[in-house]
Amino acid sequence: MSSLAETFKDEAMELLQELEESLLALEETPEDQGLIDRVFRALHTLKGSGGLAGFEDVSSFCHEAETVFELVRSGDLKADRELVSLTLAAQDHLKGMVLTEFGADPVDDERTAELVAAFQILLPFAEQQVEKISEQALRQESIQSTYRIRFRPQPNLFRLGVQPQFLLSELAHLGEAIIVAQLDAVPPLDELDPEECWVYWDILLTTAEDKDAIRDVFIFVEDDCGLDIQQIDEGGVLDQPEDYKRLGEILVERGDLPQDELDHFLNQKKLFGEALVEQGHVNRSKVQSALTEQERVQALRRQRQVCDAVDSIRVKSDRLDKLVNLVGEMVTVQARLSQFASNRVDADLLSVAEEVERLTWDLRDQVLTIRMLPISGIFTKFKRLVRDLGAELGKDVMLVTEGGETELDKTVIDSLNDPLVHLIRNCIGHGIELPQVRQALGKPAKGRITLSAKHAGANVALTITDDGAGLDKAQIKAKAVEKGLVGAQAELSDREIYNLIFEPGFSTAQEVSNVSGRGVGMDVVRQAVDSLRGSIEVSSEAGQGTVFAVKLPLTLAIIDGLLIDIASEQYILPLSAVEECVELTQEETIQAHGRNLLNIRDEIVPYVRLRNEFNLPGERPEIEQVVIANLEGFRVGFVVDNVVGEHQTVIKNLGRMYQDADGVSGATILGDGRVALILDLPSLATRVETKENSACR
Amino acid sequence: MGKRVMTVDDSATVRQVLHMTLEGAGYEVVQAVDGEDALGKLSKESFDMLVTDLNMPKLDGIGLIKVVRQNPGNRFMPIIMLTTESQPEKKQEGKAAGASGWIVKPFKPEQLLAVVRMVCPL
Amino acid sequence: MTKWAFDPEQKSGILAIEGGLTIRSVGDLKQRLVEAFSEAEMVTVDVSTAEAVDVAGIQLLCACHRYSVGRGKEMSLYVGQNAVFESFIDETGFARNFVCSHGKDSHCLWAEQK
Repeated sequence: MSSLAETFKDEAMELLQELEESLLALEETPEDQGLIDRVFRALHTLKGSGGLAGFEDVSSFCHEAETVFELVRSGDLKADRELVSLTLAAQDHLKGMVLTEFGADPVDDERTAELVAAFQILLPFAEQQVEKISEQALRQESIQSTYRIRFRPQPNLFRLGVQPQFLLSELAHLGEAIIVAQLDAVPPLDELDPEECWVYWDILLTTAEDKDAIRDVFIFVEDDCGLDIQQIDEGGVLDQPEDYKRLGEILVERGDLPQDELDHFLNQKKLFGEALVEQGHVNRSKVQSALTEQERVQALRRQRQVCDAVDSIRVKSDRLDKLVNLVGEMVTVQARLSQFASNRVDADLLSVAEEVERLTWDLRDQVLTIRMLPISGIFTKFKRLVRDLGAELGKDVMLVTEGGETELDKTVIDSLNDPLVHLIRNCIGHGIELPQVRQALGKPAKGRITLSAKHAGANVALTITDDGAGLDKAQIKAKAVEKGLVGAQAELSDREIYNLIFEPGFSTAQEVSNVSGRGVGMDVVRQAVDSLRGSIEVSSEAGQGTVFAVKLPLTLAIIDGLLIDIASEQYILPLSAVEECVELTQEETIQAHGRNLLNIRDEIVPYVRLRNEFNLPGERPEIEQVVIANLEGFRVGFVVDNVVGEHQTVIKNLGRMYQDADGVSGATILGDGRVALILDLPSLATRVETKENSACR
Repeated sequence: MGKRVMTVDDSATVRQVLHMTLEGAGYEVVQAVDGEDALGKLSKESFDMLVTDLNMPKLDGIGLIKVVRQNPGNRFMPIIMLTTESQPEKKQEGKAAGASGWIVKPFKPEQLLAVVRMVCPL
Repeated sequence: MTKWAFDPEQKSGILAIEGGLTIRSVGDLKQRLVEAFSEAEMVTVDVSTAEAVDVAGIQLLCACHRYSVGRGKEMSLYVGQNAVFESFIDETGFARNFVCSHGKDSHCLWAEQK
């Protein structure tokens, strides 16, 4: 016995002792939060160290109990006498499980199963299911391989209650499958025992799953049937010639044609496949199946080559990141050069500077396109997610994707995964109704989720549409009032009501996410989208479904900015949000009676005086400038001293210490080497909105 | 078209887990406490699938499967048996008796549903 | 459930399968098909109203076709608008656009209808 196991044994005995003591005390004072925490921690630690020490069974057993105590900890479940007794029993059982490894009698597996089940029953149903699914879907690599599978069932298959079509359909769900039923073994009617299965199948499967996943589909029949799985094309590898094997080679590989016969036929002049069939050496369906394989692999390889271009090379993405950073610095230096040149009266210098500027922009554009990837990569992962989740929740859902070829910066795509998983989960969990309900409503039983992407200017518009029940406005508002997010009297537009679901603290969904822990709501989605400098809108029609519209910038590295200054400090506003600039005079300020409102062509626009927001010293100028920005449909003014002009802004992230700074999303280096903060307009606007609201109350 | 499943286990907790999981996924579930109870219920109604434990008093799982398969109406019914890690030989015995597949206890709900999907999808 | 309509003059008949074309009924259907071919030279199997179908059912039709070719008789299949049937032979890989080569120059039941 290794020393790691010994160590674990000692630790486990201590923990179990602690567990027992806490449980007994808990029985006396069931509400004691401190005791509950102790129980939870003991279970948690035992689970963790058990897993590390190779006591998988202990670890997974603890997990069940831990999950239950998590609910107790959050107040969703009471630590009643029954639960305490159950956990005490579990504690005894755990002791047995640990000691088994040290020579004690093995524990009863039946008993393990019963205890696990007893814990599982205490969980709300959704809790049991959602776990792990997304993890599975996420873990899938997007590299696709193609497998050739021959499945030859044993004749008594039907008598075991197994229907091959279900296995085939499981297989088809793993990826893209071409299924060919082979019928040559089927005897004529008079010789057929119709309850035996003589059909067998050749399947070509292109999937991101591995061989084991394919084997798992056949797990019940594998021992008795003929099952042959061969990888015939590996998606990850480049530089394969597009030419795939010749027909004869495929047939020989499959065992449908002996090598010597192949050689014999190759010496004849006829079309090879035709000749084989004519002379009865291989039946037509086998030749066809081999031809299908040939075509499939060739097509896949052609497709890949289109994607990768003929002379493509693979580059690690961190090298690209470095390149983008360098280009960013180049842009900064170039700005300095241009500024310097324009201050000198030197025609030669100016023309060189202009040349450098042109080249720099070209370079920037080229480098940014290198990092662009089609979004289809993550789209395909969601097919599986939708199917699995749908199945777990008893819902029949299909995922339709559009615009998979739309390209986005790799970093944006990477960070999109989690919010999209969340939105899709939400659609399946809350949007799509159960099949019976849908039919009763006259809708198709199969729910439909559409994921589409398209370019819209410098942005990419992503929409997630479901044809489910739609959002219930009254219910959302009631919940928001209950949570204290809005006043009961508040008059809200539909849009404002829908947007409440993104408020922190709105969601009560106890979903389990492996990414961000427990109790995750839609506010996480909003945060994620915000951090990508994107926006999210939701609209819905009762009974018709819900649409989530996500707008994202093509890239995170460089934005068009508007350079402004306040009290001789320079700042950048994202130009994409800016609509116009107007002047604000002292008189106008006075006329507004202290309300920060501006009349622009008879429209009342609220404004924010950044000088005040940032507590900048000094007097404000006679005439200030107001930059009017459109923030998701609302016009808000930002008062500054001067508008300097447009500025190509290379975004630098703020250090970790300042990551949470409110109102600032990053920084950039200006042509003269100074640092300018990039302002986060939406958060500045809400800051002011909250102030206004509290002033009004 | 709904699917009717009979679940057989002498442990009430296991029965309850089976019931909740399958019903949650949209199956109609009827429980039985042992082999004899199951046979009684199977003789009265027809089912699309049988999920049974192996170790049970009165009539055990293997015995139940054998009897069920003899009934012409149930010859092609999918039958899933619940086994434990410690009894791999039972798997062979069950298959010989006519079981379609198995699931090892303890299992997670999603594992159960994955198995069910292979033999009796909705 | 089957219905057999026989035209003695043409020596042809139509066997309509109305319930399931599945493992539960293939034993019985095999008998019906053998009887049909003992009577007629030409048999049309009408599956347009079959309610359920599985691999055993399709295999039976295939074997039947093979049997008819072996005896120099003719068998054809009428699917009509039976979407259940059509999608099943698609999903299980029976549908094909070439002929399976049992016997010389025989057509295949599952080849797309000319």
